[in-house]
Amino acid sequence: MALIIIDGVSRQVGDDTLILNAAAALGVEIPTFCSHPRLEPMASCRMCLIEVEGIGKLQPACATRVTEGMVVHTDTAKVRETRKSMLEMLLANHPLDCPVCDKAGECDLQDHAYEYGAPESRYDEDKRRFHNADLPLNSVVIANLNRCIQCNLCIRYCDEVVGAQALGAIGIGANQIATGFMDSLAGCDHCGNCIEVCPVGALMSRPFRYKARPWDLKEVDTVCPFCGTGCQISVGAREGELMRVHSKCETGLNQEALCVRGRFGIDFANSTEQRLQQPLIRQDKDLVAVSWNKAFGFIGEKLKQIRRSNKTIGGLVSPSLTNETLYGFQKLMHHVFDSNTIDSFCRWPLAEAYPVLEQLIDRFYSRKPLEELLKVDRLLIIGSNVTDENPISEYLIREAHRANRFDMTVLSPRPSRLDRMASAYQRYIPGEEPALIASILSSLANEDKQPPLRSQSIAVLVGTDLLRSPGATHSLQLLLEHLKTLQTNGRSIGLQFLFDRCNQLGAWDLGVTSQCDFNQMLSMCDQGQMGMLYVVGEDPLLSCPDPERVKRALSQLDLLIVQDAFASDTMELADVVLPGFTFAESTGTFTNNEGRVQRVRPIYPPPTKTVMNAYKAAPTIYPAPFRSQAKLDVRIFSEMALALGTDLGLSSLEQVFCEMAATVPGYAELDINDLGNQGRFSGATLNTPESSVKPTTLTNLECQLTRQSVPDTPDDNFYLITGNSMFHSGYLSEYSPTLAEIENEPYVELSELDALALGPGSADGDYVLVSNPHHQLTLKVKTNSGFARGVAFIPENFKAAQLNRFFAQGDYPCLVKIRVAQPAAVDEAVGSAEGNTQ
Amino acid sequence: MFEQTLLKNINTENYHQLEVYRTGGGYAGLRKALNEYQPDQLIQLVKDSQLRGRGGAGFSTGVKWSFIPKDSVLPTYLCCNADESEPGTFKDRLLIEKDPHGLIEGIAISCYAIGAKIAYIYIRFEFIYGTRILQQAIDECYAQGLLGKNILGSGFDLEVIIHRGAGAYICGEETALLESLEGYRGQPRLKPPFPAISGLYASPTIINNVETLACIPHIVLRGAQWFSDIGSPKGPGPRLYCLSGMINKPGVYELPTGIPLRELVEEHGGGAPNGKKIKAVIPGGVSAPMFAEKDLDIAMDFDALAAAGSMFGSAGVIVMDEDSCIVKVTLSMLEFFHIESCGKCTPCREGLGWVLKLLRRIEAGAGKHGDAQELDRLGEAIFGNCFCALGDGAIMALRGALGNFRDEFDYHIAKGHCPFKTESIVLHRTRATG
Repeated sequence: MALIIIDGVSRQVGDDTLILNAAAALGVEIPTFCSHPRLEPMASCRMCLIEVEGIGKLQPACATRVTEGMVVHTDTAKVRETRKSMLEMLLANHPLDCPVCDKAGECDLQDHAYEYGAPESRYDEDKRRFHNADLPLNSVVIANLNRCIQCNLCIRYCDEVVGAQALGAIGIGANQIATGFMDSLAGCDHCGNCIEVCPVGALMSRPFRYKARPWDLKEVDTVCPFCGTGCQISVGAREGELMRVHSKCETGLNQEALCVRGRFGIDFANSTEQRLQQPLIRQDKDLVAVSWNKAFGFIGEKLKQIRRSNKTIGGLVSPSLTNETLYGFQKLMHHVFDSNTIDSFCRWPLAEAYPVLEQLIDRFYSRKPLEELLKVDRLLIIGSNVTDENPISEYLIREAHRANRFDMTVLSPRPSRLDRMASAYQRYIPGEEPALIASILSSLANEDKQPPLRSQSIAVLVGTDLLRSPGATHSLQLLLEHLKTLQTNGRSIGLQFLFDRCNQLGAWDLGVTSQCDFNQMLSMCDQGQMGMLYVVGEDPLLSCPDPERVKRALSQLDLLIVQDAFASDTMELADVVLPGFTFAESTGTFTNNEGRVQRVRPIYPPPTKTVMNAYKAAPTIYPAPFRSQAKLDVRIFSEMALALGTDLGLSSLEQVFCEMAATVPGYAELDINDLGNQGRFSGATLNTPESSVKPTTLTNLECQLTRQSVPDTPDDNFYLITGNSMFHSGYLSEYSPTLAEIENEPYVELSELDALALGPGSADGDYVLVSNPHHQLTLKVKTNSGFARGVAFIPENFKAAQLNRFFAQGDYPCLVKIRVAQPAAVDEAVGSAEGNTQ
Repeated sequence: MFEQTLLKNINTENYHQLEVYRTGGGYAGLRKALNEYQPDQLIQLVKDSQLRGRGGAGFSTGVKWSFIPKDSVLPTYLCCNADESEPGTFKDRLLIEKDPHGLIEGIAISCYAIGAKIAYIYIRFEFIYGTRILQQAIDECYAQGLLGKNILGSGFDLEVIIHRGAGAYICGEETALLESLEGYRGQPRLKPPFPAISGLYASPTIINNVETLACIPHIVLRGAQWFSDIGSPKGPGPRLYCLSGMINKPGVYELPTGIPLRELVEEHGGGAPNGKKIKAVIPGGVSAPMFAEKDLDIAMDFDALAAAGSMFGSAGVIVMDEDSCIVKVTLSMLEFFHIESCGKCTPCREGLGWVLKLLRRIEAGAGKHGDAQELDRLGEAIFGNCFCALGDGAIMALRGALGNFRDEFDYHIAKGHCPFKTESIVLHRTRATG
């Protein structure tokens, strides 16, 4: 600790604190342009120059560290005069086009000039001008470099936080511009963080440009619904219309950073075309619109029949819905349908893995901020292209790595940017994980038998790819056993999952799991044992492997209820369709991968008739013919229960949350109205007795560690794997016009050498035919030198591609053949991609 | 009588060849250092010699070397700063082209002293001939066991690598040099940490000027006392003065420090050509404020020049005769600084551009009343607030001109034209920008 005096006020601050931060702690504001809490100091704008007693020259507060007894003055005539001069010089070349600048109103240069600047400029010369018209760098970033004040925040952020290094500087002196290679950012992440950190209007958001003034926006703080990282977002709407999404420095784990999906993908909520507006019931093979009461009546009638036949009732709910919805759903299933057959997952079977998962979570899950978890000597990441699946988690890992210099091992079927920083990384084919986990963790257990241990603290991050893999149960068992051993040996262990769905952990916390997964439910359907299935927010026909089988199975049901905000493929088979709210209208909470429970707030008022009237004066996002009767999911459950003769007692959000907190041990301490801007952490929730897990000794597990689950490939076959692309997550992001513009068609990603081996016409951007006996697709090629030979990746996010048709149940990765596409097929593929954009 | 040391053999034929260099006693200094000195003793020797850096800042070389941490697990590097780009300075080029082995020997001894096993010579992009000569000399040394593994059987290893700059003046600034050497944009780094603690690749690094390093073998051979007895007591030694501008005998002169400026330009340089009077002299490269003729009786000495508001700098002495237009000279100096400003910090990037625009107007006869005061004010705003010394240097140059020859600026502004008929010297330099 060091005692320092700033403007006459003394205070103890930590050694090596920057004067800027020490002053902030004392409530003294020092203006800066080039400083950012997440970046290394640059000290180039010279706006933060302050006086330090004993040093002749003014010192930059953003880069000078405190020393014992330091006396700092931030408000002397000399400092004030210098600030004035710096602003005058910055404004010399800065075009004073504030009236047409998007940044006006939240511009650091404006704010500082107002606060510290001279009333008028003496600069009477020409201003620098790089271009007349704004320069589009890609579909989301547009530059007006005349306004650039060369703080380099965009370049540094792109490098230090995002890790993309897409932006760089060209030119020298006042002629330096920040831009991408060949004045284009077409190949970048499109995350828009450069726009966010730009203190002036040099880099702007294309979707937002010229649409609204920041001060006209009504902002709602909520949580991004895409991946499980759970970034906090502030959604700005003007007259009821969503204008932009950004994030605040002081809220959430993401601290201002967002990925492309969070920043630009929330506009999926504006999509009305595919929205369900009214309850539908099947009458004579057609779905007809009915009132809510009639729909509930229809369900009641069917239910009586099912009960008589003594068949099972099953439920499937999406892990992208709020905790309240999930809780309400399981309560409905338990209390009204007397069913314990529910699942929150239909993309791959996990029934076998659930008991292990429960124990793993119970014993090792670290419900704390990721950056706390990463204060370790060793990090193991298994089964995730973190860069694409959970971009903001990847940023945090990068920053933690810089700060803590831990040893990082990355095991992933797909390459990611973390490979570059890793001490070791390994590509594998799904199914091979158990062998890798066993070898890495046992070598870790064997190293340094004598204290001090080199890897005293170990963090493990498990990605969705591991759960998707056929070896998932094995892998999780091995992980559990090895972590136990390591813990017994005195290591501290932390574990978190990197889910690709925003509330997967919440779903498991709230007991939306059972010994019977969706795959088993389908088998029960096949055998005629299942009478009713209630599907909320999921589309198994699209996401479950082997859709033909799913269709066959679901056709056996006496009653299939589909509840969703958007029309889905599964609806075709449904007997009842109930319209729910989208994320944008929902309220409640999400539990992110860290176990952080955060508040989800509605961006839009519900699109009901009455509310429509209230908004009549102003144009709203919902066009006039849109008269939705959609309801909040949990309200549908509640009303359905009442119609069926049970009161769930879930009439208000607070009530749901209170009951949830009372029932689920880890949520006991939480209060929905007191989640704060950082969320609150849930506690351990599950209490599985150890005996419920089949005892497995490591030795006999390792005997099974062959590539048994990985089929052998003849030379010309590829293993097809899937996951989320960087620009999409789940199936909703396709509704976002901005994301659809960035990436409007599925692609196949494979190693450069494999692409080369396919012969001419298989370069980047060419089309190839991917086929197996079940399905075929003509797709654009994307080469990636980080891919293993013989592995091809197609993102799962494009509905039209029906990727699940490639996979038979349990057949992952599946084998496909890849050939250069015929011209006619290419024309068709290009045509449909263009159709997507429109 | 002063005895030439650095330039003693400069006119010897083929002195750049190892054989010739050795015939004249070359590499005896290295042999002596390796055989008779421990590294710490060498650092003490250089400290005792009171050698001060010849690149511009004039920091004590021995003291700089002693900043290298003794217990570092990281490798130590030596970087020879051969990015000689200060206008009016051309001494290092002469040494590199005519006496490359003198430099290499100095580098080898210095590396031994500081414990470096790799030395980089960061050479100015434009020194194409010098690079070739130096590379030949290095190759010869490797062949003769004077570089590489186990030099002269002493067990001391050294690699010397030449790195050509990319044409930026700022890369002569030591931290920008390191950035450039590492492959980044040539922009200065934040200090502290100083390069001696965390320099090239975040390892302890010493950066010395060519002339500084060339002095080292002589100090080793002839002792610290011999060196400190030459010239000024507080900054002793022989010094290479570069005489240029409106002078009869331009060139590089080796003379002791402390010699009066007037003697240097009038006796050694032969005064201004065509019998004209000298109007002003820049004593140490363009960043050093100029002296008017009346002030030339000053010793060329670090402290005396600093006390007079100028600096010894790189000892690039530029002479202006009575027909030189100081406004034009100032303009061309500021053009240079503005073009070479890396753009990192606001005052240098924006401020110098502003100053330049004012000067252009004044020089073109479009100056406005109050422009001279505006220049003063901008100098005030820029000086001392920049990230590195470049912006400060530009303002010192401007102040030297404004302070001594304000009447010329006032004349340009008041009358709208230049009072001088003849072309004055122009340092103007163009550069592809963009």
